[in-house]
Amino acid sequence: MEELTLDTTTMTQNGSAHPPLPWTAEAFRAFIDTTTGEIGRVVSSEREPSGSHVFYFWADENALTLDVGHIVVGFSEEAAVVAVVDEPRRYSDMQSFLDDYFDRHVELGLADIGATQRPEILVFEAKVLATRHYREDVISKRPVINGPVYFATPEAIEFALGRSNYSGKPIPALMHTNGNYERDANGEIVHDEAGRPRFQRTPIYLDEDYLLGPEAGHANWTGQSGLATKTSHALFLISSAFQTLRKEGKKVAALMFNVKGPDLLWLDKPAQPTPEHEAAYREIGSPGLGKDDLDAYKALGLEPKAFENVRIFAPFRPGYEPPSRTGYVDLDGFSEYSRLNTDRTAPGETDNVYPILWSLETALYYPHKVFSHGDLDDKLWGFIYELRERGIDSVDELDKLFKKIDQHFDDPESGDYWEGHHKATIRKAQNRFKGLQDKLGGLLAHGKVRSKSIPTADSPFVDQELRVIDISQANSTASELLVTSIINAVWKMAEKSELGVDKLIVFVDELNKYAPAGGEGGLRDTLVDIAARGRHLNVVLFGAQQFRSRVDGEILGNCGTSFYGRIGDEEIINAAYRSISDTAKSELLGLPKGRLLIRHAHFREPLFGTFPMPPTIRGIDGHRVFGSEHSSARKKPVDILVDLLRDLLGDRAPDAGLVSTECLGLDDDAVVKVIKKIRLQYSGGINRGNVWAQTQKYLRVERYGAGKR
Amino acid sequence: MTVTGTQSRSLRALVRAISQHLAEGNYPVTDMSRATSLELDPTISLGATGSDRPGGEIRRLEGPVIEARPVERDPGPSPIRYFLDGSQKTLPVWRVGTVPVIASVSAAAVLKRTSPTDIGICEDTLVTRLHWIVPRHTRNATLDRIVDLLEEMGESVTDPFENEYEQDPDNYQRLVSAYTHCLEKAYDTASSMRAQVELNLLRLWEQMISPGDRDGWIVIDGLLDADIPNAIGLVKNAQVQHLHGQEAIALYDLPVGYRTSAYALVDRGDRQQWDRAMWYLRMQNATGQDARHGLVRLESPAIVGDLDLVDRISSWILAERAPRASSDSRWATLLYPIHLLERMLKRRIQAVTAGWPA
Repeated sequence: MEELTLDTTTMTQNGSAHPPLPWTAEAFRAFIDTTTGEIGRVVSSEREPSGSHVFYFWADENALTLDVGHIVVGFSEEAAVVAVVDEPRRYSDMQSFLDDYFDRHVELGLADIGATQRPEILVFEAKVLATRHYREDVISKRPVINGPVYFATPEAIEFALGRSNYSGKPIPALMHTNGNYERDANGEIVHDEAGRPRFQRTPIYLDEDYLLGPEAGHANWTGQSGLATKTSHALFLISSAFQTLRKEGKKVAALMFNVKGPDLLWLDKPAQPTPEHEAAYREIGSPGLGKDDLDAYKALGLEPKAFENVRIFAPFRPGYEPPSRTGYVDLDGFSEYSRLNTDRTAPGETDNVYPILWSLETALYYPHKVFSHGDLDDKLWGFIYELRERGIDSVDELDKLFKKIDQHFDDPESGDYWEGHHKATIRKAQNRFKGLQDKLGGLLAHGKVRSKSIPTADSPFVDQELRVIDISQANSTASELLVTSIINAVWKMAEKSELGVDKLIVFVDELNKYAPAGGEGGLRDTLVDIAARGRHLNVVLFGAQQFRSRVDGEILGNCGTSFYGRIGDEEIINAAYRSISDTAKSELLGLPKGRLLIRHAHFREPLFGTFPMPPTIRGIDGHRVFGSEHSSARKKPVDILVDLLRDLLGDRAPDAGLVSTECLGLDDDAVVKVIKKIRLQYSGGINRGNVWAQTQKYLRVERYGAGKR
Repeated sequence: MTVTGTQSRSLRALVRAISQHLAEGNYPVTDMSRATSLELDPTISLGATGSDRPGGEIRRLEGPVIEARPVERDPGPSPIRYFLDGSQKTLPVWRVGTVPVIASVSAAAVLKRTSPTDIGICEDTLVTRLHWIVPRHTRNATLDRIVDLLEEMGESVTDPFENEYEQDPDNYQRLVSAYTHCLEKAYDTASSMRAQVELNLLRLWEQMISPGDRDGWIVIDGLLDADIPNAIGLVKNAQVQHLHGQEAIALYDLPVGYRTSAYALVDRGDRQQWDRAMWYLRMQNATGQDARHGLVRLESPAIVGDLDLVDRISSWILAERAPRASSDSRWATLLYPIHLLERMLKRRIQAVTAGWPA
């Protein structure tokens, strides 16, 4: 029988003309999940060659968990190429759909599987994130070669996301979930609380210097209201930044505006109930954080704790501002929280709530916000300047001046002008100013406003402060005015380096309203300035909107980090999303809550990731647990004082009994006043003397009066 | 019999090496590397009996007349699990005077189908062969040098006119000087060599694989030249008409899903030790088409002992009509597993001929 042989030269292993295969190289072993093994093979063709930024691979039929958004590793001759999986396409050799139709009509029923099934391959497009060459000093852009593909390990993912190049601290932002399973030290698959194999998770970090400046800065969230979880993630990221910077010894604060109900009013209450509050949380159906969430926090190196230093500022309800005495409204010692235009007024929960009240002088800084466009002509402007020059800085003083002007015009010999202003202009001004207090709804006092001991909405920040301006119940004029004035004040402080902290985060929701595309003037200019220069002045803008296409391009262009949640179909077709692949866009149309697409300065391609529930209770739940007078969770002021002293003094804190004794005979409001003073005096790590001794002094003042301490 | 596999170096590299030697020795050759392969050369004539069985007397196995019969479909699963096919590429390399020097690359394999989705080449059955077809007795120094060089390099060389030389050396010299005839003969030789490779593989399957899978059947793409149990030959382009008159009309009028009754060729001197039993099957609707559209001839010695097998085998073959190999112009008679196997074999040949100018 003839021996069948194959011809010619045999290439041997030793002395071979071929170099070792890169996927067997020790240098790259840490990058590939060899336990799971090969999951596919790189292919390139004439029509679809591999490139520096994209390649294609077909998936092994056993790689059933491989999907869009996963991170894989292919190889060029001397490098490992880490890429994120994008568009999948399933190919067969069927020339047209009619072939299958005819197959089914000739031989097979619709549900039949024939003797031979036409082979199909699932081909994924992979977008290159990074390439790691054998040599650390070589940056290779060579495309992958045909060869096996593996799931990337956390080490590979961190390399691909530029972690080794971070100049600042890494701030956890999201969690990436890959298609391979997480394994313990023994190589066994880890299971979740439902008993299912857990997929490999890798934290996605942001470079502090590129999120909070100075290298780059700002973050932006886009997504549909209620579906995209923009605010939830912003809170999570702010908490992450707070915890990270605290470890570094850096001071950080944040400014937010509460625009809807009690959403941001209970950020000092944890999502995970303390034992004493478990029943109350359960009662309202707030179960706290699940095991997966807690595990996620642990994996991210974060604690799921509420913000420690929340300060809430709110204007008064219309018509409820305190009366002026001798021309002044004194806010020091304020305690009538029910008069404030906020949902956080329950006794015992107001020690961190403060009023916002303006005198006329402050309101007239923004006449274009106070008066309508048609009214604000040159003549009215002239009259407003007259008022400023005369030092008219309260409504009371203005009323007096108008009386004086009325008397002037009552004199028939005085003519139609007063100080160069025509009677008609003055009458118009009288009419417009008369309605000003109604228009500004609780924001404008009659007298001059003064306060020495309580913080104001535009005062410098303290470390770990989360300042919330509650404009949810203010009318549109008042809320726009508040946002504009406070942000402008913050910017001015930043320009003078008077922020009080190393980094300030300003969160603005509905950014398309305050900085619309094609808009001019007002807050838009300030926000553009912050976007352009803020990272050098330690202020960064965290903005959120439903419609990214309707936000000023300069602000978005300066943003180093962008997050995308679920986006509507009318919006996603806009040019603002052109840099996102079609597959990613399709994903965004149906993205579930808790999942976001992230773009960051260090990432060559956007990535999908998830985040746990925020560490604070939902606003509406917080209101039900702590905001109701009948809630069993609401603490008495004495208990709050005990907690505060414990936070400040630790083991040296006086016991609860001693504090209770010192508070005997004082009503809740008096204790709350003392709490406020102690917070102010000792928050932000500022240490001014003996805390307990000072507390006792303040309690004595409340009991006996100021002269007898 | 053993089949070994080693990595081939490319044809192009080999030819380059030999060309260099020839140039150094001032042996005159004319390059033909850009000529099309003989498979695609329309001037190469195979002759009416080139690749099919000769016509002659037949013995009717199912009744006195060859007639059309509907195939009774076998409800059970098909036991066809193996498929065998080969592919070749026959390339002109040089011309020395009027004599072409031909390289023939062939590949063959047995494909196994374990399940509808688990299809692959049986281990150690993939054979790739590079063969040189060069006249040895021309007394031409260049041709002799080429043969010597090839054989020194371990290449296999065959003279297509070896038989003719043994019978009549003078006639041999006339034959080798006819250029087109040389090409035709080279192509014939290459085809025969490939057929031999396939036959060897079939024997291998019979001896090494079939014993472990007694119920499994194998379909051979082409003539079945061996008496092997559980084997079916499938001829897609039968060129010799064995039937005549009304029987031929019955053949060409076969509706889809019908077969002819079976018959055997009566050997006349070219005696074999087993009967060649065959029949035709219409696989696809031929309305408006050439009379041979969808028509295949099936060969299996097994039916001689069991005529019930004719319907059953026909039923199994009809079941292979889906999926269609619609990217191939021969889809009407090409079984999909054979189509897959051909693609794999062509890839193998491409690997050997990578970079070849034609």
